[in-house]
Amino acid sequence: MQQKLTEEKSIYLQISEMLETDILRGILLEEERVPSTNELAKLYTINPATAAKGINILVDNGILYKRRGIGMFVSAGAKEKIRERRKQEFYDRRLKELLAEAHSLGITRQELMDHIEKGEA
Amino acid sequence: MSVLKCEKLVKTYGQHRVLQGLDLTLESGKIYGLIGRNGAGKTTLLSMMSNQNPLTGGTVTLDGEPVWENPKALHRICFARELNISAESGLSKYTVKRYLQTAATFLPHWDREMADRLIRDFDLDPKKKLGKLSKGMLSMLTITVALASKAEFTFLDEPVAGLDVVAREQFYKLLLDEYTDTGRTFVISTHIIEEAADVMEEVIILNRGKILLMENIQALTSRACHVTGLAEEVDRAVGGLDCHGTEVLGRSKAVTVLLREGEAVSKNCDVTVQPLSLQKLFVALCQEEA
Amino acid sequence: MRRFHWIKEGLVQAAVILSAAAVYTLFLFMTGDSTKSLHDYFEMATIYLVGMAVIMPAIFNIYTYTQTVPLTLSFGVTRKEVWLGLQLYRIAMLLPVMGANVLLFVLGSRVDILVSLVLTLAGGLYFSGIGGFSGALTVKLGRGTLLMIALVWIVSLALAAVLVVIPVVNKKVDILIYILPLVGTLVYTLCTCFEKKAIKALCVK
Repeated sequence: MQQKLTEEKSIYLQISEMLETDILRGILLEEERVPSTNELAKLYTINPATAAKGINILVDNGILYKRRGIGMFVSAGAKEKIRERRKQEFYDRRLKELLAEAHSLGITRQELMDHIEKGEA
Repeated sequence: MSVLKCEKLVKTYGQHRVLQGLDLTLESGKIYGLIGRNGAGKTTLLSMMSNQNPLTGGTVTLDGEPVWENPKALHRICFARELNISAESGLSKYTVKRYLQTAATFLPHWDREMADRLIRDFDLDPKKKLGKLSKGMLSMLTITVALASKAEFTFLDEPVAGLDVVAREQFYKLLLDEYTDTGRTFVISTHIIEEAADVMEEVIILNRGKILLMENIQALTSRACHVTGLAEEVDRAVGGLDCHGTEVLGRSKAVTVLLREGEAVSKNCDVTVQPLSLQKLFVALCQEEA
Repeated sequence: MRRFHWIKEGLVQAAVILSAAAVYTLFLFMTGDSTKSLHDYFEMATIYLVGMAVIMPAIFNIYTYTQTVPLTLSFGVTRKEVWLGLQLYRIAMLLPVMGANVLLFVLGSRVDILVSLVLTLAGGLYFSGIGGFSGALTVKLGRGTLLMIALVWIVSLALAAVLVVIPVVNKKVDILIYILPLVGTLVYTLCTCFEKKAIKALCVK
């Protein structure tokens, strides 16, 4: 939650991603309460409606759930869910982009594999 | 929920028509950002919504009742405007204390404690005369009045003019604190668009006396994008889309696109599509001259 | 509470008028010769008071249009309330001065109490009206109207002078008591009607 907001992406997306990262990193544990929209709004100096939008994405994805009158909590199994989804995104986007760029630079599959073998494990 | 409505609002100064039949509906409980070029009519609009400026045409109503000369409606509205204290202005001799006392007398929901606390936090000397205050200090005084008025509908006209970035952050924090505590409706005109984009919920873009656009800021910026590449490719990619602010440099072209429901930039073109900040979108929309 | 604000402002201005007259009289007392009696000084004080009561409201009322009127409008006060407030302000300014005149008479001023009260009231009304009128005029017509204001003043001073001087010269001072309040009230009423329209059309800047 200490990250700063950037200008390149919608703020509400950044909020939901930051919360997910915190869950992955164990900063927020399952069944623990997450900051309320007002708390997030004050923390980041953003409009509460924007913070709410970010939280709602996570509720829709089953990462968070609401306990009436108390607040938003991290769902059981959220960490795994997030990890799975991010893995898929990694393959669908990052890897595809990597391969496309390698291709446009004329890097062969073999060259790429060699670098991966040699590279930082 | 309350509604402040402007219908077919017209304001003419002599020969000059500033507002051209403007329609606007404000729902309570939101922070609105009012942006527009100089001379677009922002101050005129805000002052017409608060009995400060007679209407040449049209109506302004709060929950169906006219605002003009209506104490019941006016008790729910506060317009904290930019204080321009010139040497001739009679207000230059007023002290900060006297100014705030006058505010306290006439603003029915005035929060004296909040005003005192803000004056202390802003380091404003109550005994100082308004004519001797710097532009930044005058802004802070305006902010004090706006927040301590505790009015249901509070309008601020360029509250951060003259404030350095640290003071501006301080203002946004105060604004959000007050908003989250009370749910008051704020309409804030500003030129510092990027900062406003984070703090406001909805933006109202005023251009040449008319509302160009009024939308949730997050939704608006998600449907705006900047498309660049070879001119022909860009044209192929954005065919049929709502384009603005086209720039040509050599063989390359850059276009700002506002996607409507269900639209997307053509995927099979060799173009770069980037998200766009509210400020850049505003410039693209408003720099087009007739 | 809000009405008291206007009354308070009027009382403050009344205090200014009273202090000015008092200071002036005191000055003469300090520098004057010993042949003058206390009664003489009370008489002079009464004259100055009437003079101040007539001139100063004019100035104060012009100032209301650069200060009080736009300020209170900016705090969401209706134009009707502002106009009513101005009436309270003017009454609050004149009454203490009239009271002081009565006091001075009781203490021994030989100026006819009826004359001093009539002159204060009539003159005060007349010049409050003119002051308010010219203040409202600047608002309605913009700043480059100094010439117009000067014209208004020249005409109203001339009229006032004529109204006072002619009966005095013809030794018919007693009709002053009837004419002046009438004229004062009439002029005030006309001016304040104009003010009402001007305030209604005022754009707070």
